[in-house]
Amino acid sequence: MAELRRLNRAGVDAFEGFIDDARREPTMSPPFSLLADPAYSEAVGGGAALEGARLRSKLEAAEVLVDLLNRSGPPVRKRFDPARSDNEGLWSWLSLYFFDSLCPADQAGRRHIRASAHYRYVADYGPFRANRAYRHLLVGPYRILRRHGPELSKGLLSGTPSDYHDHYEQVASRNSLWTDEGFLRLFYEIYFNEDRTKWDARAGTGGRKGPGSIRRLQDVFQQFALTYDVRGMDADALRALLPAEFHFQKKFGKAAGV
Amino acid sequence: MPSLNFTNRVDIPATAIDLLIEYAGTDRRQLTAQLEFDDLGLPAEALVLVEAQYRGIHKRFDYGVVENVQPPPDRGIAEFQTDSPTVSVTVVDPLDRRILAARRNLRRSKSLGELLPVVTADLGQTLWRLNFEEPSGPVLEVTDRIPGIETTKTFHAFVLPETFRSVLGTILLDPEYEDGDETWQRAWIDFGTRLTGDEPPGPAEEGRGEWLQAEETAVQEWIEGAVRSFADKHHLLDEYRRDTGGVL
Repeated sequence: MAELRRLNRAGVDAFEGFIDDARREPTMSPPFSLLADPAYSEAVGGGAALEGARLRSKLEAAEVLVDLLNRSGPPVRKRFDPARSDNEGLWSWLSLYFFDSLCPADQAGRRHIRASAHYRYVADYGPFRANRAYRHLLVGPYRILRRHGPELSKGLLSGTPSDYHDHYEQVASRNSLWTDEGFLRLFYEIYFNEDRTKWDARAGTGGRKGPGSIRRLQDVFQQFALTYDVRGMDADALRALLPAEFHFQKKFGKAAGV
Repeated sequence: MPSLNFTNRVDIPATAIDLLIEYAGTDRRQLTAQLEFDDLGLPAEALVLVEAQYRGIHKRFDYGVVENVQPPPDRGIAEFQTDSPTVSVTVVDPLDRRILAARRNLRRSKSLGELLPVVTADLGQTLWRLNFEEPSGPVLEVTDRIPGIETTKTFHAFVLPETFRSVLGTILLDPEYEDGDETWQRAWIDFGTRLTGDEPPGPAEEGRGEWLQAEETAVQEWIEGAVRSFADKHHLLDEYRRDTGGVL
């Protein structure tokens, strides 16, 4: 059991420094000592305790965080709500706490941190900017699950906590898409295989561009939104509008329904 | 350049929409849209939707149908970190969800009381003065020697039109002013836009320091349109007559 804490400004700076350094020295150990060091962090009054530090999927990460903040009660939940708060170091502390899941080391002990990766892990003191919040590896999944629940969220929140695939970027970066229930149902139907347990690798659908790709789907939806109230349409109505390139079930001779 | 419209969609004028924020405690703010669709030729059974958005939070409110527009009981926007979320109003065909009319990206205009705070002060033999304070904007100072003068219709009729001319002129003819989302200047321009139905004329391409005479005239005409629209809306002349019996 771990006490819920938040990084202070010095803690956030130290965490950012580690991320910069670890890009040059990928075998560096994360500064987990900051998590409990009173010089770099402090307890969140009223915060619930955390159990375990391993997350197997994005969906699980979101579930753990929703549960954590639910157990912590409304004042803590409101204080650290990514849409309203100034962060105050909680989301950075959580990223460091779960860092082995968010940025796992390979067999050689090397972590692969991308350039300009701070926003994936660190939430500065100050409001989340619209172009940052969804990219944070914990905040994005948390917001999606809190809004939609697990059934609608499981498509977007597929993969490991450290995954950041283009399908997620194209949807989560657009409020008009990730907040739209009908779209999420369709997204799941199009891009997941028949038993709906894993990402579908059917030809073209995993690519960045081209017929059936997520970028095409996003373009098509933006066109629809000029003419239709897409947010008010369910998945069946939306599917009926889609061009043939997205009718994968027909295309691949699988179950009807498109 | 006018935009092309291939959808036959009706553009709902800004003047048909009034956005109000009602307060019932800090966390119980409600957004109410007052809508006027009488002259737009929309089908009676079309659905009316009001949507608010701010920093990734989106809320949709069902306002009934065109022939019976009804704000829903729950219009709460407590989760927004602002009193001025971006608001869209959409009228939709109930059968195929085609958009029949829309107005996007509206923001609530501040009320006159929020735009122009009134304070009493020792002004000697003058009755009122407009004082610009940064970063909060104009304040209307009123003599403290005649208590309540600012509440009279006579005061409104004589002071408010000139106050608006002065504030809007100060903003729009200021070569240093740059538009921004949350500034007091933007709030006043929104106020004027709602009165006239149009944004004010833009500056010359070379920048505000290069105003051409024609453009300055166009801005002054826009300001005058806003002032007249305010006077009409609030019946300043009629109210003055009622207040004084029509004589000075």
